[in-house]
Amino acid sequence: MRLRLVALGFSLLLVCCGSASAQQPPSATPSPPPFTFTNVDLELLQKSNELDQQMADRGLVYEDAQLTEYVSAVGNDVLPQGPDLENVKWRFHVLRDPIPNAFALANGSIYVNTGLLALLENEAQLASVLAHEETHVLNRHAYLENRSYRKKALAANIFSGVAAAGGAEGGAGGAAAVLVGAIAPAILESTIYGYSRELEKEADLHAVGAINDANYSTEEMIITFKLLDSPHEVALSQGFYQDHPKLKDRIAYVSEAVDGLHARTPHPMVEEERYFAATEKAARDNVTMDIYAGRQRTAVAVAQRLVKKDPNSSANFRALGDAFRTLGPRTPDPTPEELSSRGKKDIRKSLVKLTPQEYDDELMALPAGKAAWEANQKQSEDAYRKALEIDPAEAPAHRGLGFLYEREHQFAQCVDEFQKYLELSPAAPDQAQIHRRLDAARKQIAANAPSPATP
Amino acid sequence: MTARFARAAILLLAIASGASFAKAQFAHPDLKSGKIVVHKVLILPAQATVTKSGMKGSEGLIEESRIVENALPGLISQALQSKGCTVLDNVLAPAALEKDPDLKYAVADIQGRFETIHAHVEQKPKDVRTGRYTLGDDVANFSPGAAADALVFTRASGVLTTGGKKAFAVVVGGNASDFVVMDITVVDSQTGNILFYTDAISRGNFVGDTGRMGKPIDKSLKQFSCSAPSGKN
Repeated sequence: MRLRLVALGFSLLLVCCGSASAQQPPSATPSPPPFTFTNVDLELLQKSNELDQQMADRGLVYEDAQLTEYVSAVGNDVLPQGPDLENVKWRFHVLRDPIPNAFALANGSIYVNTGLLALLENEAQLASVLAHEETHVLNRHAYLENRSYRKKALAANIFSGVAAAGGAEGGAGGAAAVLVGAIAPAILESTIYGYSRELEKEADLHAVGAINDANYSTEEMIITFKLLDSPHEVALSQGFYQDHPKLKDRIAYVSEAVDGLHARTPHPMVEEERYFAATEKAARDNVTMDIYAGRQRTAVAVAQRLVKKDPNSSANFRALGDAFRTLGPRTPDPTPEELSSRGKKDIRKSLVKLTPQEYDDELMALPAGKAAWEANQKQSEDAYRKALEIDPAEAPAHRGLGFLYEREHQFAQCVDEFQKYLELSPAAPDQAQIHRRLDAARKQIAANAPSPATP
Repeated sequence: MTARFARAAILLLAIASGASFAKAQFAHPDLKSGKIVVHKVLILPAQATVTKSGMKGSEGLIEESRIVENALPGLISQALQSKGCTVLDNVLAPAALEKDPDLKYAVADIQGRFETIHAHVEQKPKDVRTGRYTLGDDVANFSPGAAADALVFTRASGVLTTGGKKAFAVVVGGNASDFVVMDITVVDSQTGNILFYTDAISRGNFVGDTGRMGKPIDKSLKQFSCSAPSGKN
């Protein structure tokens, strides 16, 4: 349904993040090209506003006033000075989504996913992403792409109609033609996810100028691309960032632009600590989102970074414990076999065929899977123990240990940990689940107890 | 893939026939045998996608999607009540969600969890009958569901065809009509097991007259029943 939501015409709107303009030299105060709104554009504007509402209504927006304020402040810093743009109201939002992405709507709403915030390392990198997205709005890319899409769609529709007519003449082909007609718009839409490479390049190059003018380190934009280019998951589909000009190309032309610029001060801003303080909680919450989204490897990587940055946080160690526990039979990094095209094909096939639980079970049946699981259990246990060492009242660490021991069939320890969890969290929302598991563990203990010797 | 194609073909035939009707219904073995009995249900907010199909291509209709989303819980509630279920009303009403961001997150998360398994159920609904599908027992952590035996998830996907495209279809001989496909999944609120899955099709202007979706929903839940609530239920 998430795909359907995107397909809900939002593909026209989700002018995803990514790039900037080659012909135009980077400038922090570009005069936006004159733009005359047509009815089609006003429709898109209205849909952008509706989409904002829809995002909020569906609980997709990460409602953290401080974080939103921080992202807005960085976004405003890299906005060019100048008159207000017609039909643009700059609003910055954080989305509860573990995929590293950002996008801009035509109305000036800019969304950054928690997954991207968790991946980035400092404020300068965030500024480069926001400046890039702002360019899409400033230069009206959404409207331009929408106009172009509609022309393509009209052509496709006529094509499908002709196909239907052919089918009617040919007899049985009609139903198939209708099917193609129904599918064609979706295929067409998929070709416009994100902007054209030219527009993305335009946004990239403009962003370089904008962050330089705001006194952020432009080098960090290059590092951002490198971070995006080092995914922790096996990429099974063509993601948005792979759709952009190859990241290596982007690194090349942005590096060239950076070399041609003079930094405003000898020490441009990077602001790693401020960024971490503002985003730490969101990144930790994103670990849980990654786990639920089946991105356990990313969850481990994010949690490891959190622990490295803030080793005194019991919650960060607990998150690391959760990430390793749910990593299960996978290695922390994809194996070369998984990254091969054959490997990807096999994984894709399995994921279509099997539910996540069935897929885990299949991996566990392999010796490599079992070995990975054992190693991950150990790492998880260590992380939970560390969390409890820092803060013995970190109840979720006991909960995690309970699950860990349950899986290892160490039922006495499992009962002990679950009980501690319930003692520390008497109002826990998952009490019913834990009580049920406690009962099951106790039954196992009773069943395993040696029967009294018969006289 | 073959199964998907077959389902798509059936759907197309159904639409072409002009009928509004319920398709197959799939029940978990424990529900069928009476080992699990559902008394109280909580209906989660429906998620609908309405698309306008016209000569200028397809376009998502957000407002129309919202109309369908708002109408479906009431229609499903009526259908379930007629089968003896107690429906926990207003727990997840838009006003309640608006007031409580944590509740809104919890709903968004459980809807997301459902999506993962829903894709598999759609692909092979027959396996509901073997008890294959589960959301996992952490659905029990969804506190609004604590008072319910089952959670009801609804997805709908509709197409409104413009007059121009309808006329074009008449000329070239294709099929262009308004329809909505709805699927309803009942999930055990404690174990996360998928207890029941069904889908239904309604043809005609389902946005202007949302009530017309009621009949196919009612039919699609024909094989589902809640036993009479016991005691204070």
